[in-house]
Amino acid sequence: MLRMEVIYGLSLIMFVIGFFGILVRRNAIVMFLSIELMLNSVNILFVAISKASGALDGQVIALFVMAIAAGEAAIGMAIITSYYRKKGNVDIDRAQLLRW
Amino acid sequence: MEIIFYVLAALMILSACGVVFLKKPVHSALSLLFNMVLTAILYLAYLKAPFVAVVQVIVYMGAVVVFVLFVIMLVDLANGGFVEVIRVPRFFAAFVVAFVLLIQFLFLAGFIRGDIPIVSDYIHGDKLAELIFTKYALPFEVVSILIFSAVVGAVAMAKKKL
Amino acid sequence: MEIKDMALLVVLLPLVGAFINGVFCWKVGKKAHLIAVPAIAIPAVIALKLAYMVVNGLRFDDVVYWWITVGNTKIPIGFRLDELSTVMVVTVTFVATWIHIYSIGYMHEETDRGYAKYFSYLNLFCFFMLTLVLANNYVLLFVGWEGVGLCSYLLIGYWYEKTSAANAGLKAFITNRVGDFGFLIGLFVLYKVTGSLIYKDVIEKANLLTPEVATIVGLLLFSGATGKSAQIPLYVWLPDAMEGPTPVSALIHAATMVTAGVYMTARSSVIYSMAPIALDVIAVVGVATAMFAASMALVNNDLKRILAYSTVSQLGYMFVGVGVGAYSAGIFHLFTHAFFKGLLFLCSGSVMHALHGELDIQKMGGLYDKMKITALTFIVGALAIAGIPPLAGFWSKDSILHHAYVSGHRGIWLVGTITAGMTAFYMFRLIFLTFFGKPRDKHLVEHAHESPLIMTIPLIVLAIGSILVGFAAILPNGGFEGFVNKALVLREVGGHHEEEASFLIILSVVVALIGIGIAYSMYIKFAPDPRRLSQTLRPLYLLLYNKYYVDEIYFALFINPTVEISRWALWKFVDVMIIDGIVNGVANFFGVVSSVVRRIQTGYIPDYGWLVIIGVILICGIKLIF
Repeated sequence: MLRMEVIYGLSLIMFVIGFFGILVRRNAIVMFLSIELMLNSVNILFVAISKASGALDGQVIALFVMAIAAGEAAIGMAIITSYYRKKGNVDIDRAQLLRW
Repeated sequence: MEIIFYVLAALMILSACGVVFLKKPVHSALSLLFNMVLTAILYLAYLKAPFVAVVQVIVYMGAVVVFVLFVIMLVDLANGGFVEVIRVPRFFAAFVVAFVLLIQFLFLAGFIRGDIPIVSDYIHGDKLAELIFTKYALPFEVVSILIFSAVVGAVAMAKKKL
Repeated sequence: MEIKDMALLVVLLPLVGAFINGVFCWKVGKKAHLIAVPAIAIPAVIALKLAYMVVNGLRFDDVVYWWITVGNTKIPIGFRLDELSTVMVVTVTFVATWIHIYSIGYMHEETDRGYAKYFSYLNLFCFFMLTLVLANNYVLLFVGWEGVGLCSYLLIGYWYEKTSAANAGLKAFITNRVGDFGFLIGLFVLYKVTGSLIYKDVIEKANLLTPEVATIVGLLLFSGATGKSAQIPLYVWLPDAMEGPTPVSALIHAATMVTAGVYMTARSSVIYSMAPIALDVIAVVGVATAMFAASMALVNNDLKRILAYSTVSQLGYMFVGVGVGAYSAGIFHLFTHAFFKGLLFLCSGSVMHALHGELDIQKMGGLYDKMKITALTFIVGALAIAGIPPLAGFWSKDSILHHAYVSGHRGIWLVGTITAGMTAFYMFRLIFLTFFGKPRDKHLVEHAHESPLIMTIPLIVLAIGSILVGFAAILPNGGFEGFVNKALVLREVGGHHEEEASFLIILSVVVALIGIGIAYSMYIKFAPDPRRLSQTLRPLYLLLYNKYYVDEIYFALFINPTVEISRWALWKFVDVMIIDGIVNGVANFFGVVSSVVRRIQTGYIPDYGWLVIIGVILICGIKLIF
């Protein structure tokens, strides 16, 4: 028997680590990887809850999350490359294009 | 079995930390790849979800991480004069915030109940397909449009001139 | 073809023409008349066919389309084809067709787009006018009513670069608003009482109207008619409306639109039959207008304005006819007036054309030798309006005066007869000053020439019409008036003594001849010399010449106060201080607040990450606490 709480703890620790990465890292690519990590942790929770409750919806939603993550990867990488072309770096702290 | 699970979980947390704390983006990416492999194993062995595991391997490892590695290759950080320095105050602030969040999540864990049977049926793709093409048909189509537009957008942004 | 389809075709063809010329004006250019003329000529032919059917006893009153259906209120787009509307349709389409043709010659010097625009407006006007006369309910009538007002505004201001033309258009429109205000209120009251605005239902439920309500409704409706048909006190716009092109004056401000008020009052005969007081008011206003306008025409020197005052005066006659209960006589005068006044205006346009836009009759003279067709047709028109038998005006004007006399309105009859003499005088003053005598401005008259055939043929056609249409009065089965009466609801006149009043006919002819004679002696023989006469009667002359200072009085009483109140109270205070203050205040408020709040939006991506996580922590905290 696998306790639900254990899976939950694992998932949220990974989530918080991912969030921590977003907060401290300045490299846009690593921030992006952290986001993927967070998505992955949420996916684990979805599949686990699906298993525990017996409903399959959680797994389907996990699949949707993956699909959207793939789309996000395409867009995110395109943004990063075009930003790199413009500025010559991927330092988020120096990204001021949104600044008023 | 449970011992193996805890080893797996520890490795997952470790690789997750690797994603965040390793200096070089390539190492972070590889660490994420390792995390994905472990997640797929978790899906397959403990959550009995082979289809999700396979998609995890194909999409995350085969597409997303490889994609990121390509971009890391294209974006030549060494020549960009970019040396990532993590400032200590920010590190601690982030640590505090993340810790508070973790504590809150752990408290919220009290709301979650339920056991996952170790021995249970595998959920194969056919059952998921039934659900996807009936109940989730519309979101499925919407996601397809979303991905398509994401591809178009990515091309539009990546090209120097349209 | 069904009668319904024919009626629809009559109404819609001008709209199609207007649409084509209006939307494709840069394409059609100088070929606009190829679309515009058939767009009104075909309805004219159909109208004749319809008239034939109606004469043979066919009537039509049906709904084409339910326009507004709200609860119990049902407003259809429907047509009513009876004797009254048939007369109007035939008149409108016939006169409009010839005026369209005339316009080809008159407007040919305009720019390509202006030409197409002109014909587009003209067709649009025909559409609205036909809607007005064919409507089977007051709301659709009102649509046409406002539509012709709009087209009138557009066409008066056709040369909108000219300030006077633009102002004249504005004046016409605003003056009509005053009358339409009363008209609308009248319709509301009518609806409140009878519960419907469809003619048929109003006639059925007319017994719900008490005499008081009928009087109120009648007077309110008449106030709309005073605006549209240029009666006292709202006639002031019509003389200024002469700023528009002359065919427009002929069509809109003489033959058709201005008679809409007469048509409307005749159409409302069921209401007026219960409101004798309202009828008396109409008769008095009508005769006062006739006299008043004729007196102003006596001394005016502007070719078109004299005709405009004459139109006002003749409209007054029509209202006298309506007011004494002889609606059909009023309609008959409307019918004949459309021919001879349209003719007179077209002739004046021909004169203007020859003299390059000169309108001052004091500069003209001796034009008869230069332009025989115009002069002869003008004389035909003048004889018709003066009431010389057997021309059209004689029959209709005499019928009105006859009805006024026999119905007991002796005073009205007397004033009307005197006015008839004045009419003959000013029309022949115009003729003698314009076409006869020595040219007073040689340079101007020297280069005068007869207008092209495309302009003279409509003159000839309308002149023939002016001679012949009067004989409609003596057709079998009661003549024209008997025909129209079938469509009306007439009051049973107690003791309607049909006394043989042949002396009336002789008297009115004599009066007209006296008027012509005075004009002849004054302007051909100079005995008495009009100049010296104007010196001896200087105060009276100035009063008439300055149009009784009515415009000035209106300015002092209504317009200037309105303008001043608008400027100081509404603009400088309400608009600038309050409205602008609120608008700018809101903008400034958000500006000030934003300048503080926007500091949160740093634009640094990590900051957004921080804000997100703080938000997550707060939400989770709330969840934990509660």
